[in-house]
Amino acid sequence: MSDQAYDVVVVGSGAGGAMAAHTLTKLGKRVLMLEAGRDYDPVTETPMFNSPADAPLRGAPTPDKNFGYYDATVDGGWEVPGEPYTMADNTEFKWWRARMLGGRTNHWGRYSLRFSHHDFKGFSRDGFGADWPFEYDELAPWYDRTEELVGVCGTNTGLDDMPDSSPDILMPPPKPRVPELLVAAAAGKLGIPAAPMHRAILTRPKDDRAACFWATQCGRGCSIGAAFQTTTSLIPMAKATGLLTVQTDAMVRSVEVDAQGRAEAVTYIDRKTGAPRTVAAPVVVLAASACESARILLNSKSEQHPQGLANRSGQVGRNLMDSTGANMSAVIPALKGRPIYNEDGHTANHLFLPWWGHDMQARGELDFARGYHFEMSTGFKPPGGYYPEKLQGYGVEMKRRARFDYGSQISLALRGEMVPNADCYMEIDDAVTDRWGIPVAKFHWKWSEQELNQVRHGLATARDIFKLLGADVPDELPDPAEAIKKGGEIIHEVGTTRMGTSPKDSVTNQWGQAWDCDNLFVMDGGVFASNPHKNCTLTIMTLTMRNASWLAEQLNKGAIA
Amino acid sequence: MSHETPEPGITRRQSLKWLAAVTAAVTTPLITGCEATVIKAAKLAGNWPDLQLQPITAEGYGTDPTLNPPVQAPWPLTMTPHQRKLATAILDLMIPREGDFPSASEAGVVDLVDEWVSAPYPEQQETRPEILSALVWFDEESQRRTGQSFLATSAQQQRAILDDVAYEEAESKLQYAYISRVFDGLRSLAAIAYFSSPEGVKDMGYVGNVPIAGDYPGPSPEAMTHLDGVLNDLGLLDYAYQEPVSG
Ligand SMILES: Cc1cc2nc3c(=O)[nH]c(=O)nc-3n(C[C@H](O)[C@H](O)[C@H](O)COP(=O)(O)OP(=O)(O)OC[C@H]3O[C@@H](n4cnc5c(N)ncnc54)[C@H](O)[C@@H]3O)c2cc1C
Ligand code: SF4
Repeated sequence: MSDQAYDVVVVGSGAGGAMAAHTLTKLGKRVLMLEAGRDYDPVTETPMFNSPADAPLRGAPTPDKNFGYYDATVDGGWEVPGEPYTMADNTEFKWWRARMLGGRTNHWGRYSLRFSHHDFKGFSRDGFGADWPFEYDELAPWYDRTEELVGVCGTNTGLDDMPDSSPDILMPPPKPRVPELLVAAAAGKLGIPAAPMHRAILTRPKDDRAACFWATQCGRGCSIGAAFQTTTSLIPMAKATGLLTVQTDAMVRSVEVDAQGRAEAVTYIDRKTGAPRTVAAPVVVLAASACESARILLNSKSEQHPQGLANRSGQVGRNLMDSTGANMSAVIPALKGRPIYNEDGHTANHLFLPWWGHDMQARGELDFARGYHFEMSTGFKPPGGYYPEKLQGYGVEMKRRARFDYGSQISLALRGEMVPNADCYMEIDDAVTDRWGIPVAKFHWKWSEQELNQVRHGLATARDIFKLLGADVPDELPDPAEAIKKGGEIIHEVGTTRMGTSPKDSVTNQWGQAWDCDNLFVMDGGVFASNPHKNCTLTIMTLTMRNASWLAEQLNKGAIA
Repeated sequence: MSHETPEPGITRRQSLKWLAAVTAAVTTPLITGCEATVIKAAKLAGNWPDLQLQPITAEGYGTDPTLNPPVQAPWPLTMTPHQRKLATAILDLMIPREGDFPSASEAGVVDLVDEWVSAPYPEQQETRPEILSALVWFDEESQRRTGQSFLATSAQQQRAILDDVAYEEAESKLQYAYISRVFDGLRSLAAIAYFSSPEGVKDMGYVGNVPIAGDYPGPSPEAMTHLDGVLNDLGLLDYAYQEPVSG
């Protein structure tokens, strides 16, 4: 098994896998990318302007398409056909997957916020969880490079929760819209700043990609390439080097090791035939998403690695984190009957409310350690499905009411940081296999007081904002234990192969290199040491760019032979 | 999910709200008891037909349907000609033709309702007996009141029935508690279907989903003037958003 056709085998084609392949091929390495899903072409397959009236059930969500008919997800969602996962008693965990080239980058929200100085040093600040094995300053130049390559719009604000990018890195953000300006003013009265959202959306053309034309939901994908997805950017760019081979329908089962316990091959199931295949792999990069990469490691048991590959610490699958989530919405009477204009913009947040409470936390004034932000959902959306209040009567009068109420609802969505805890982890369920015969993941989950207190604070803040806007909202808050979204539901799962400074309590070093296997790397959210509230994907890509560059250097030096 | 930008069309929240309302929230001041007892009493008092139907066994469109261009729903429509006629009459009362804007049936709402009740998915299957029972209820209620079927009775009599069930107050009357909830659900479905049709989009006044070259223009001058008035009324003018200055 040493035909050495490739320098590196990369598993996965999403945020992590595509960035790894792009970085490595640009640095002259030959890469084989193995992707479980089917090939996918956003240019021809994206239903850009199609109207709900053209879709079955007006595009309503169904068990086949959980986020609506037009959502880009192929063969996935909260369930993947033939590929179940299990949960421990008293656990509710949701795991969103997609089986397509580009993975979940084809339909993600594209919110792309940098982690900040304190995010990398949570343990040092408050004693919870673990620090990252480096400082923000180490990552800052890589954030610049990633933002430039990916294309991110936004503004430098100087806020302590939003580190500035270097000059000329960010593309200009779009103008804020009326309901956002209204929320910003109410928040301002409470001492909470609003800021332009950073989104991986081009507002200027770049490479072969056009700038956003301010229409069509990005969750469908973007055929003009304005909304970042790896299938219109990193993957074609990596292919253009001539050094990338993409194998789709390749469901990786395990990494095989040699007598020394080093990786030497990858075994996958050809989904078209069901047959197993093994390819030689001088270096393996796992980027199948945090829980899938951990699953592959745990399923790669050998004499040399009896607890699963790279798991001498016992930490593979542990430290599983998602973001906290809770939504609160209200009808704003003053918005009823307001002048209509084209409020699509880039069809997601132009403004949001970043975390404002670091100082309060440092002073010990809050009963939770980590921050959150608010995203908003509001505006004159494509009609159908947005009647903020119960319709009354029938006929012309009923229609008049529906028109009058249009665009008067605002939802605030809390997205917060959780602290890792011993009750949240994944393992392998030895009793259940998927349709390919591969043992499946089993989840354990329990929120701690940290998260519930944070959500309580957020619900109170949202209520206070709505009150300032004249909405009729109850004083009494919902129970945070009811209001908090389920584990996994925010789709920011990370931490299952965390990086650290010691092989005792972490799976990889700061380069994503497994402590127990020097030619095995993890380049997805699995390596996160903590899960700051600022949506994980920009940091997955940034870390991957940095670590894949380091990997290429090691290969050049012959340090990983 | 990080983005809070649901697709247009029927959102899950919307349709679940309806179902929850129909099955759980039939509470009237006139009667107390557990949920099942209340629902039973409301059905009895309202002469609810409570159709028992065979489940739909057709296939859905699967997890990888063609999106561009979208494919038609693969399941066969199941409403009978009589059910469609009744649905047309009721839905066109809900959404009549208004100037240049079409009626519900003209805008394809009846077709959508048929597609909805014929769909094999759990949510649609749960609302199917409610919708089809409601059609029977309108017919029978008309018989009780006028000795004629809903389609045969006068427009005035048809409206009189709707007047009794189409407003929130109806929920507190035991005899209308159940039908008024189902009516509300059907009305939501009809409104969603209508306003997401090409003509309904215009009727609502939506002006988006058109490509714009260059930068996003932002709110119109009228919209900004209106916003300033709102901020002023709410005492928030001093806190109006300022663009960040750094970088
Ligand atoms: C609706 C939605 C909105 C989101 N919004 C945001 C947002 O606004 N901001 C943000 O930061 N994040 C957001 N996310 C999260 C974001 O999509 C993920 O963090 C990101 O895609 C993770 O990248 P990844 O490479 O680890 O995994 P993925 O993008 O999931 O890619 C993994 C790939 O590996 C493949 N794979 C899995 N198992 C195997 C195997 N055994 N063998 C071979 N291939 C395999 C999968 O098929 C997939 O293609 C959102 C997610 C969703 C679903
Ligand atoms: S809004 Fe802009 S970025 Fe999003 S899909 Fe449409 S054109 Fe692409």
